[in-house]
Amino acid sequence: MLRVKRGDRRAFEALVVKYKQPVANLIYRTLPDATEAEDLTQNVFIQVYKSRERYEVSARFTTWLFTIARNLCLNEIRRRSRHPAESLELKHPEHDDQPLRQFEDVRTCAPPDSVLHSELEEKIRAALTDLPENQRTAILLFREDLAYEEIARILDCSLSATKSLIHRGRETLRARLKPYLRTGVWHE
Amino acid sequence: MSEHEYQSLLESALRRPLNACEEARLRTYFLVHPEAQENWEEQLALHQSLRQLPDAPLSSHFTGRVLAGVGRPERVSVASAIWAAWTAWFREVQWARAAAMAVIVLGVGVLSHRHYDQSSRFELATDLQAVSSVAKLPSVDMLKDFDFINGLGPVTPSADVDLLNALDREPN
Repeated sequence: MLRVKRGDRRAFEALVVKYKQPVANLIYRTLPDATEAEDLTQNVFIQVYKSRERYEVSARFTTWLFTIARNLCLNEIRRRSRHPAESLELKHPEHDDQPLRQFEDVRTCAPPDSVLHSELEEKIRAALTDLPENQRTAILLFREDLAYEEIARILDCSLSATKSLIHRGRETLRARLKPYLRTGVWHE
Repeated sequence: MSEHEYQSLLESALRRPLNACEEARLRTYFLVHPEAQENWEEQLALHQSLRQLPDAPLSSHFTGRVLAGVGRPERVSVASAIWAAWTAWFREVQWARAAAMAVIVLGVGVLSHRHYDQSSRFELATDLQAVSSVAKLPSVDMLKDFDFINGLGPVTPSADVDLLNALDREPN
């Protein structure tokens, strides 16, 4: 990062390659829209480059990076709450039998044995989405192997509060996903 | 092993494989608290499930897009460039230097103010001196009296000549 601070673009490229996936994962779990998540991830790295002068060596790079990512996510959540997106159910003004907008379904057709797995993923994703933002972010950062101290700095709260957030979030997830966690299959 | 130690062991297990000693302590704990084993297994299974979530999809040219995004030439105005240079310099220097600079600026300001103050006082004293000489003139009430003004008589050059003669005669 010190090389990036001096304007080394090759070092910046290396940072993007190394951290793009963890950042995208965090954003995608917060704003579950692949296109928007990618755009926001791109903005995170552009923001990192533009504010590289403000980076202080005292903080770990990942702390700084994920703090920027979280702030952009929160901004996007606030923006969405102020300007709710229009429904995809809206009818086309000229063709009543068609929706206003149509999007290509890019998902590949999965074989039958993968259907259950996708369903489980969807359950976990939904459970994560329903968590309060700070609990979800703490759990996702923990998943990315960040230390408690780092997570606490990103969330701007104490170490004990961070551990409590992770504990409560995990307990909520465990209670909700219990049928799968106990046997490996859903009993619903 | 206490509940706190159990939680600590669980946190360790979520980060790395437990060593033989930790495994032994855990087994002993489960003998005393069999209900904890279920919780342990569910916690590990949850952690595993979260880890197995697929990565967020990213386009193959993502890195290129980011580099293109930061590569655009920035149009910076002169004012913003000066401001950016100033703020960058200010961040670089230590606070002591900044404080010393502030003291110097403050000192120069105080000295300038005192110099201005003294000049103002000197001008005021000069003006007062001029006004005090005017005070020796006859009063305005007297000047209103025509007879008095008439009685003053004309000022003749001979009066000056008499004064010079008197000064010449005076011994040094």
